[in-house]
This record gives sequence, C-alpha cells and structure tokens, in this order.
Amino acid sequence: MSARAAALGIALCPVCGQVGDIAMTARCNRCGGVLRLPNARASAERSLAWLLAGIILYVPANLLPVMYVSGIGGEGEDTIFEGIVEFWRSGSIGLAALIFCASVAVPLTKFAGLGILIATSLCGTAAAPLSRARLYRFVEFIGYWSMLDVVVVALTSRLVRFGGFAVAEPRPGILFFCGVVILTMLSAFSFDERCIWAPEHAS
Amino acid sequence: MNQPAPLIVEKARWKPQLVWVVPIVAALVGASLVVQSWRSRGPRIVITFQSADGLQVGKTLVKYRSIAIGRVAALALDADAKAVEVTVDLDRSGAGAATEGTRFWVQHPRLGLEGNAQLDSLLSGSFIGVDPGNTHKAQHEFVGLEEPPALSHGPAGRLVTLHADNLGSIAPGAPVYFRQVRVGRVISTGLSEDRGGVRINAFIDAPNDGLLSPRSRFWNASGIDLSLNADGLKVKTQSLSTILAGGIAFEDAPPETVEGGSVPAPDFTLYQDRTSAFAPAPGEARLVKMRFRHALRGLRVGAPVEMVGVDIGRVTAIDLEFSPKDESFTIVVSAALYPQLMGPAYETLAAAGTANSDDRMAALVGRLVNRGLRVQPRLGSLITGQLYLAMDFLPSPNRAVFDASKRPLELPTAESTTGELQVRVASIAEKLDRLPLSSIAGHLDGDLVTLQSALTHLDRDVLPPAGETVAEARSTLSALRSSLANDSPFRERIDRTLEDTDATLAEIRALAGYLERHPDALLKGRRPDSNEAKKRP
Repeated sequence: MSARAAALGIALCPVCGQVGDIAMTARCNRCGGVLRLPNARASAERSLAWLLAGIILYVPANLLPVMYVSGIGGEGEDTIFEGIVEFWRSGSIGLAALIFCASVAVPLTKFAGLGILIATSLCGTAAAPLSRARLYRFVEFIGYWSMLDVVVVALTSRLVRFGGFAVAEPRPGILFFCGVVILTMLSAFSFDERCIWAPEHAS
Repeated sequence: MNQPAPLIVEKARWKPQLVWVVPIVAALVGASLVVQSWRSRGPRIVITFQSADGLQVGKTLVKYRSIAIGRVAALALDADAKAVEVTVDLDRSGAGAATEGTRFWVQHPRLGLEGNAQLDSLLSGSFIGVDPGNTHKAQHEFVGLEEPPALSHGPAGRLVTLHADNLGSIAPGAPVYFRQVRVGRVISTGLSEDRGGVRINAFIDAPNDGLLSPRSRFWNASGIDLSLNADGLKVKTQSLSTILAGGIAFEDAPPETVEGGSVPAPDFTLYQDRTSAFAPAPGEARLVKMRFRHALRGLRVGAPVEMVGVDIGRVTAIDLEFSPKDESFTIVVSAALYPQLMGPAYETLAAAGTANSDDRMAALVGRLVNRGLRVQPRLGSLITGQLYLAMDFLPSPNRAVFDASKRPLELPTAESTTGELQVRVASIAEKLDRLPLSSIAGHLDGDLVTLQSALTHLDRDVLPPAGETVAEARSTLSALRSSLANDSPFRERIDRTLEDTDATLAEIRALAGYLERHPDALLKGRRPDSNEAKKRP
C-alpha cells in the first residue's frame, strides 16, 4: 500500500482542492478553508444521524397524504402509495413505475446504500473498498431523482386549478418527503468518501 | 510524522455531535404526528345500505353540514348478501354522530334548477350525509336511509303537509314562495295513506314559518297562469324556475274567511291555482238529479250549474237510462250543488234553519218549483257548443211533478233553449228549402241574357249617332258664340236696331206726354208751344 496523505500530515482543502500541510496550518493557504484529516468515525456518525432522521421522516411521508385532488368524479387525498396504485389501475403503468422508482425505490436504495457505507465505515473494515466507492457514487447519483415527487406535486398543484372543477393541492406528506430527500442528501454529503480508503485504525 | 496521531486519538473518543439533534427532532415530529392522528381518530361505525352505489373506500366522505367528519374505511356485503355494510371511520369531531337516533344517507349528485345545494356533490361525487341524533347514547351500527330524510334535526322552521289531487310538476326541492319570495322548499312527495291523492311535505324556513296561519292558502304555482277575460289577457307566474321546475306559493286568505283557531294546522290543501285557492269554501255538497228527454250534446261532466246566473255547482255524472215501460231513453244528469256559494242568500237560508235540514230544503225547492223553477240546459258558448245547466224561473213553465221525499232531490227540467233554437233554425231552413230557387234562378238567368242583348244594342246602335249629335250641337254652339262676339256685324246691327228702337220709344213717350196735357191735339192737331218746343231735343 502506498503512503497515505493522513500519515504524511497533509490534507486536501475541501473548498479549493489545494493540498495543505495540516501540521503547519489548520487552514488552507490559498482560500482559507478549514483543513481536516478524514475522520471515519465522525463522518460516519454525522451521516448516520442525517440518515436516521431521514428514515424517521420517511414514515409520515408515506402515511400522510401528499396531494389532495378534487375534480369531476371524486375528491380525495392520496398518499404516495395510493397514488401509485391508482395510476397503475387506471392504466398509466409507466407513470406508476416512474413514481414508484422516484418515491419508493430510490429512497429505499439510498437508505440501504448509505446504511452499508456507514456500517462498514463504523466497523472500520477495509474490505472491498472499490465496490463501496462505486456504491457511494451510485447513491450520490440517484439522490437527485428523489426530488421528482416533490416537483410533480409542486407542478400539479400550480397547474391544476380550474376553479371549482378541478383542484390539486399539496398535503403535509410531501413536506416530509421533501425532508427525507434533503436529509438523505445531507447524509450522503456528510459521509467522507475518503474513509472508504482510510480506515481509522489502519493509520 | 507522529504529530497527527494525538489529534486522531482525541477525536476518536466518542462524544455526541450536534447533528444528532436532527434525528431527535425528526423523531419528535413523527411521534407528535402519531399522537395527533390517534387523538383525532373517532369511533368506527358500520352503516347498512341497500347499495354501495357511488361509495369508494378511502375516498367517500361523511359530511355534516358540508364539513367532512369521517371517511369510508371499508365496503362489504353483509352476511346474507342483501345489503352493504359500510364501515366508516369518524373523526374525533364527528364522534357526536355515533349516537342513537343519528340518520345516515347517501347523497347522490342531483342536478336540478333549484338543486344547486348538491352542486358540490356533482363535482366531487357522492357523500354520506349525517343528521346527528339528539341523544348521547353511543351506537356503532346503523341502518342507512335510502333517501335523504325529509327534515334534518338542524334547521329551524316548520313542516307542513299539503294534500292535492295530483302532483303536477312538483318535485322534492321545489321552492315555496310567499308573495314571490322564496321561503321554503318541498322536501318529499308521496301518495296519501288512503291513496286518495298525493301528499307533499314542505318545509318553511325560520323566520318565515311565522307567515303560516290558519288562513294560509297554498296553490300550485307551476307553469304559467293565462287567463283571457273581458279585462284582457293576464299572465301570472311566480318565477322563471317555477315555470320549468314547478313550485308552490301560499298567501293569506282575506280575514273574513277564517275558520278555526289561531294555531296553523300542519295540513293544508294544495289548490290547483291561485283563483281556486281563494275561491270561497264551497261548503257541503248537495246531490241532485235531473231527467232530460232530449239530447244533451255539449253537456260535460264538470259543466257549471247556475242558479239565476250564479255558479253554484257542477255536473258530476251524465247517464243514459232506458225505461222498458214506454221504451224510451232518458238522460239522467247528476250534479253537486254547493248552496254556500250563493253567499248572502245562503246565510239567510241558514239563519232560517232551512240550509241545515234536507227536508226543509226539499220543501223550499218544492215551493220554488211551483213558482216556475226549472233546470234548463243552455248554450254557454256558440263556438264550442258547450252547455251548462241553468236553474231559473221560467215565465211559462211546463207542468212538473216534484217529489220532495226523494233523495237525491230530483229537479224538474225544461226543454233546452238550444232545442228551440234548433227547431227555429230548422223551420227557417225548411222554408228556404221550399223556395223555387231553381226556377227563380232560371228566370233570372233569362232576364240577364235579355238585359245583356239590350245593352249590346244600346252600345252598337244608339250610342254612335248620339256621339254625332253631340258633335253637331258643339259646332252649332261654337258658331253661335262666334256670331255673338263683340266685333260681329250681327251684334253691331242689333246694337243699332236697339238704339233706333230706343229713340222711337222716346218719341212715343213725348207724344204720350203731350197728348196727356193736350188731349185736344188729337182733334185740333199740334199747337206750337214755345216751352214745348224748347224741351224738344
């Protein structure tokens, strides 16, 4: 194994990417950003806190209605899952699949992926770092797509407004869902991917 | 090289980070939501309906005064599959609905001219309506109504029942008007218990229910009331929607017609129209019969019976009877008479006690018959040929037999005036028929031919010479005119002749004067006289 930056006492500035000597200065020479050595435990813990908050909010996000729709033939509030079922039954299978991916598959995948990353990081294992790095990038990538639901509700509630005939309004569930997306993103963001490569006890 | 190590060791010691506040807050929010939903959850009830038409699990709301107080949680058939059990989760605010006496019904969308109250259900689908009971005793199983209830416990007002012969265009929701102001609505309609008509339940909202009184007269205000009489054409309507959807109006009758107490009865009669609503009460009907031996074409059931011009009854039946004794047909007309319609005359009769006793009435009728009272069919309209029955005193009545003990009374009848008219018309027609019209026409025709030839002759032979004569006369006249002109010699000669004549006459006048003074001159001849000579011109 090659020498690690931490062992050499140097770290990347998180802001501008300048390499700085952490022993000499706590701040970046170029931009003044705070230099930190990767701290697997702390980052994993922070990430875990965000993730737990996200998981907790995911429960009301799914139980509470996300949208109220009233129109000819019916009115009612739908939770995310009811909406998916309704789309599926009415024949919009593609739309149902899309919403299912965005609001169920993606968050659950993120929970699982982040959970694995955090767990391995806390255990301090050095196993399969390449796979874990890939997993991390994947989690970051799919993170954007979770906001699809929120955007759908926001657009629908603005666009569907035909006086008394058809009204769509957001309901609290979508706020919680939005919270879930933000918290999981923060969780992924707090996770220091460098820890995949530098287990704490390895140094 | 070893410098970073203490740093790492120091950080490695676990101490709670600030970020842990986030999941704690999230957990608190989640917990509060759970508590809130648990707290807002009301009782779960089961309502049995005949059909779950329009109900959707999780969608259909239970509404009280348009506020959602619950939601359908499940739909299922009951044990013997004859009804539907609708499980409803009530909110905490709707817990009051889960009490004894509460009524539930499915409110389906209904589009009507006056039914805009249900317009929201048209857009949002059916919902379950609630009318909470007045008790506090909890109940969790209900049998739903199939129709919205006539009256919910809520609004203040008064329910009235109207009785009518038929429904017309009145439907639940039809408006009730007082002086053309909407004060209530029809709640339900149905057949009367005795099947003798229809029963209409109407609700008059507070505070307008104070307008109801024993004098209130209700009538069917549907459609357009057109009346054509001597005053001209009158159109009466309540409002445009009553023309289309039907409606009821009521007003107070004039005070003198009041009977009964001051507390309005919940039952009223619904009259056909305003006129009949305010017509004086006909009072008790008395049945009479009349026998006619001649045809009564034009007399219909419902035709009026008039007593010296006052409408007092209606023909109720017209039957044909055959008597085998003399093998003749008789028309038996039954009529219902309402003596009360005679007004003051009836009051006088009532005061005498005659009106209340059939026997006395019969005796009175007998005396009137002796004085010439007969029933006579008369022509009401020359155009339609409708007949009415007139009770009138005829100047020379035929002999009549009146049996005062017969019930119903049998009134003696007289020949129809229309019959007489027919006879007269027939005799005129017969006379006309006897006229030798064809020979008259033949003679007339010959005369006309002669006249024609005479005229032709006149035209051909007389008129042309006449024209020549006229032309000659004209030329003669013009010649005469020219000869009489100022400068014509003829005229000049005449003038001269006249002047000479004038002079001659003057001479004769002088001679006459001289002879008057000197009569002797005739014998002696003229004496010279200076004076005379001087005067001579």
